[in-house]
Amino acid sequence: MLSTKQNTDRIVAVFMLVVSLVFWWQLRSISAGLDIIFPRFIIACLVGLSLLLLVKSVVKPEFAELLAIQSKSRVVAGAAASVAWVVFLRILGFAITSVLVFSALSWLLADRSKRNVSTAIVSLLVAVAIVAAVYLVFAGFLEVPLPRGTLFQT
Amino acid sequence: MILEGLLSVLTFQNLLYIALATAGGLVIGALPGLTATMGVALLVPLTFVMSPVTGLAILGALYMAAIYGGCFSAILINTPGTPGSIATSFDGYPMCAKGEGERAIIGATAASVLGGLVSLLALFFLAPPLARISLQFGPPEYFWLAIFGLTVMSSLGEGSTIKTFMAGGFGLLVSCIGITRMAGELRFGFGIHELQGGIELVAALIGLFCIPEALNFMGSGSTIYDVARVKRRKGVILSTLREMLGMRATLLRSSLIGVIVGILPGAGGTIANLIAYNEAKKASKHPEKFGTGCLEGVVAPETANNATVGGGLVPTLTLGVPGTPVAAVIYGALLLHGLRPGAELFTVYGKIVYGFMFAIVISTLMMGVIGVLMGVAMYRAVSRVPARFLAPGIVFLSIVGSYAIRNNMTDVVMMLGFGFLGYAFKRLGLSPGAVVLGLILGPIAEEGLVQASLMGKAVGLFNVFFKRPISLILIILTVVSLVWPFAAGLLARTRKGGKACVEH
Repeated sequence: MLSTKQNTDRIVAVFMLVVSLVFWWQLRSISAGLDIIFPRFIIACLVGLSLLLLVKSVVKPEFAELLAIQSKSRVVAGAAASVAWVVFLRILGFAITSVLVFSALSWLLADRSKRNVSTAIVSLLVAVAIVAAVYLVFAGFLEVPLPRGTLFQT
Repeated sequence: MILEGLLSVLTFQNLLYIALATAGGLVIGALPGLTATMGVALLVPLTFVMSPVTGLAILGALYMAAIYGGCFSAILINTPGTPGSIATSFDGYPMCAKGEGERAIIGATAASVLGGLVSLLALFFLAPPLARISLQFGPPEYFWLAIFGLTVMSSLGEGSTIKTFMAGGFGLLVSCIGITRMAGELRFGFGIHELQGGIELVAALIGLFCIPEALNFMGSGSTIYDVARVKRRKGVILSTLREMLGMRATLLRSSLIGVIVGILPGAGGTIANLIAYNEAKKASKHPEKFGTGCLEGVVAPETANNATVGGGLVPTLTLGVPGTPVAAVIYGALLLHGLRPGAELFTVYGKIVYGFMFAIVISTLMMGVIGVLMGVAMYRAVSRVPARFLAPGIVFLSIVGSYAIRNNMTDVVMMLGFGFLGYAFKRLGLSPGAVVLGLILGPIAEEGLVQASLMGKAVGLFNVFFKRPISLILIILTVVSLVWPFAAGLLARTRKGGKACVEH
């Protein structure tokens, strides 16, 4: 039977080795001098710790069920909504994007049996209220300009 | 002069403004992305039309309250509102999960009030000698302070120490991204011009703490935010305060840590809470309880981070060298009102300066009352909010907060990137707190190392790094901090073995 647990030590060690390699490769473009000492030292430490962890992953490994998530679809939906939020923020602006994504996400997170038109309307109304309140505090009171979106820029 | 300063603040108008600024500061501190620096900076123009005493009183009140306000979101939703509340979330959130959120908030409030008052006492009576100490700190001392700060990592991870140090190393490496301060060269830009400015700390902090929390909650499938189960207890305020009386050593030590870190220009207040947490854990008879929801784990960092307020104002008022970023903004406000930091500040403008200091004292006391009321109300409100609004709300505030830092979409993208990374890291057993610690201390360590190396070209590297008195103290503290967990474990095992021998 296929184990659902993964060797997290090995995954972390390999990840950090790759990160170290990428950063080390980037050091080529920097002229040698004071700017290179510190990152070189950190990369060396990271490589050393990664190799130590790689040994540990064989001798005394640590396992965890990385995909043991009650509702994977909700996590994926949440992550996708967050990305969409950021992407459309630039295009549609703060208010429209936030109302749309907030209401869609809060509707999706409702209990399956309760996902109906009235829940959608409530989600929309709550989204409008929260976005309006935040807009008043940030743009109105604190005078922090919020993105208007390229679609609405004159 | 001192009495005149006190009387100038004790007017109905000033007290009202201080109360409003205190409440406003609490809200600003509680919202991830809004920092005390931002709040004070936004308020400065409003003080132009006010008298210097009133204007500075408002700024000081907001400063103290905003530093404290960060504990609310740290305790309630495991997302530090300010960098100074990172360590508060380690035990504050688990306390909330056990239904002891009220106790955590009351403890954090009392600790913040005490830390703030101790630091203000230091400001009133010890400003000149403390300022002289701050002048003794040069690049080698900052380097060793950063190294000492890095040893805190050992108390941040829940599991493997190797993984915790690797997370910290990752943070240190990522902190190197951007244009270097020494040679002005772009490092690790990866061809992305937005990375020239480096990684914005607050954006990374919001991402690493807020987004994983929101995603975890979505993934739990729960429809109610049952983390904040409210266990109503009668007399919780008095019982919590009584419990804190038994933590006098922790309160005093954390206050001193906050004052000393605060007086060091450039160190910022962000590391004070982490060092205080680490030291409290090391000194505790039950260090294994830290991280599981222990009141001392909330009290120590909150005492320290509010103690940085008075500490940060010491070099600001006496030398004109700001100890913390917020103190730098207040320094600007002082200049705008025609006051020059230095010796004559306490003589020629004594009434204004003492009025400013008394205003912060009054705000600190008000913070105790307003904070408990607001905090408990927030705790009860959060437990009633349906989860389907809370999780998107956290994402929403994270996006708004990270945008508000520099009005820059790059910070929002960075925040989200760190958010997904933080989610993966947590599942792999890597501590986001250690990553943040690396991000904070990386620039301090590197700048100290490079500048000290330059100094070493004149007088020898060994003399620069190992022969200065304060550096030696910091080296000893670092070694003790590294060795202590092993020594304590060995001591505990020896004692157990000795007891077993006696029983036989």
